Amino acid sequence: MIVTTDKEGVADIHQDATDDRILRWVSSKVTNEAVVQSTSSPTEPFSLEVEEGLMKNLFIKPVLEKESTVRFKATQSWVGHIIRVDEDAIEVRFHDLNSGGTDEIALLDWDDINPDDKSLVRLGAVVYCSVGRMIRNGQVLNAQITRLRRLASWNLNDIDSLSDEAAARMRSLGLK
Amino acid sequence: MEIVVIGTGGGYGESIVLRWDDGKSAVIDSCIDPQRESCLPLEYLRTTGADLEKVQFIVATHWHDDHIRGISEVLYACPNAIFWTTAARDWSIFIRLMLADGRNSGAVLKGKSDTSQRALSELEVCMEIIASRGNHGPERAQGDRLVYREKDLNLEIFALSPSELAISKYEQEIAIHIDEIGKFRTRIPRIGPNDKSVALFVQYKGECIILGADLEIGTTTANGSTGWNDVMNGKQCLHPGLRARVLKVAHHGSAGAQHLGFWSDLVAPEVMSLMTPWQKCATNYVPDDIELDFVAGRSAHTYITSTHGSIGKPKPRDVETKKLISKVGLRLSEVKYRYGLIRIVYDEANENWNCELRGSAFGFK
Repeated sequence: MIVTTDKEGVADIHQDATDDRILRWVSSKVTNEAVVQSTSSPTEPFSLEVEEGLMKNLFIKPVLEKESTVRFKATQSWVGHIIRVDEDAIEVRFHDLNSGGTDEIALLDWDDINPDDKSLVRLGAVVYCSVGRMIRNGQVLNAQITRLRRLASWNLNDIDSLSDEAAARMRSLGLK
Repeated sequence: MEIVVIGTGGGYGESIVLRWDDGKSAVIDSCIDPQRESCLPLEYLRTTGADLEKVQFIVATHWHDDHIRGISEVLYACPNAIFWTTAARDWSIFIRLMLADGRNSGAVLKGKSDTSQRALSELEVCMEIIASRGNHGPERAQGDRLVYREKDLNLEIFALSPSELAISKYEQEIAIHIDEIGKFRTRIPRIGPNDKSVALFVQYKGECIILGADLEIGTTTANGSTGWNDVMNGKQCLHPGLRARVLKVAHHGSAGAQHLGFWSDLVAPEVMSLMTPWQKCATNYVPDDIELDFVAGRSAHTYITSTHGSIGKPKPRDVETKKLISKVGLRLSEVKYRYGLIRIVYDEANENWNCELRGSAFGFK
């Protein structure tokens, strides 16, 4: 089966993609401690229920033939930003979210980046990464989840309110 | 006069503390110890018994992480300090950028907001502190602007940069940054060359000191010049014949910051050069051996706070996590933290500077 999404996060699953690709795609949508539960039905759309994580309002059109469960438990997580991009690799300076302390530089292959996220790769882009155990249908896998931060672009209202806020801040600082 | 350069291996930052008569002091830039999350210049001032009420001014030379981490903590602790930074002529443009950066801190992981991925969060807190005090607004540094003066001591501190042209370019860059971070929600990336940084010139009882910040050579066009090119075109504060006997080498000694005319015209042969290292990415750090040789070859004494942060292995973790990282094939290298401090004190009787090194700092010729 092949999984694709549109801008609203609606996904199509095609029968000619592998389960593994679905798993990778689902994983890329999930942050820490997230549990993804999918319930299939041949006729009705189903939703992925996320106990904890950032995935919201994600609806997937049919069709999976049997119930599957994907559970990911992060052992170690980082947040960082891209400091170098070239043809071979992406370099990210990571801050350790578990224990703080010194930073680490990770060399990520382009293959580590979800195809949907590749357009977000640029200097300064924020990257989340976790390693942990993924349990799928009773099978335990070692897994790395790398996800680029995806926030909606500003609209005109955002830009206007930014100017208003700046004007208020100027007044509070006594600046003209 | 005492000049303390605090530096860290691994790009965690640098800071300078100046102290002079009557316990007065100033802080230029700030950095933190990532392991203890303590603000290093503030820690230095406290452990040496400084009166924080006598901190006269604080300069944020530019907003790169390795120069501003912890600076809001310094400002908060120093109630009488005037805050200087590089900014657009129109403060509202700069403040819009700061607020725009703040709006990108949306996601929260494990209860921790990702302020570590914001470039300007420190400056935003500084502005809140200044607004709450309500006594003195932030000051914008620019070439030839007087930052501090005590006539009785023959002490003058001037900004050497940024130039008019650099500030104009900065305003254009800010507009691009706001557009980019609004569209792509990225962290503000570092864009070179750095010609907005605030280099300082200190004159104290006839001694001349240049603190180069991260100022790079810059450019020269029909509309003017930027960086050291602009400084070398002439600054009123730099009287003819003055030569620096103490130099905080600009931009970690990188080749892009070493203007040949600067070294020949503004630096004394007996100069004491003080440096800090910086790590850009796994394979890119400054100074490299050639850059070190360049500085050492033009200085009577050269000191650096540490070597660059070594990169190679992931940081120590429990066995299970280490195995997991290895099994999933994540290639990680720890950016090592090293603390070094160079303290130089002016000996008025002998008209000499005496140097003391702490931590990982070392000297070489």
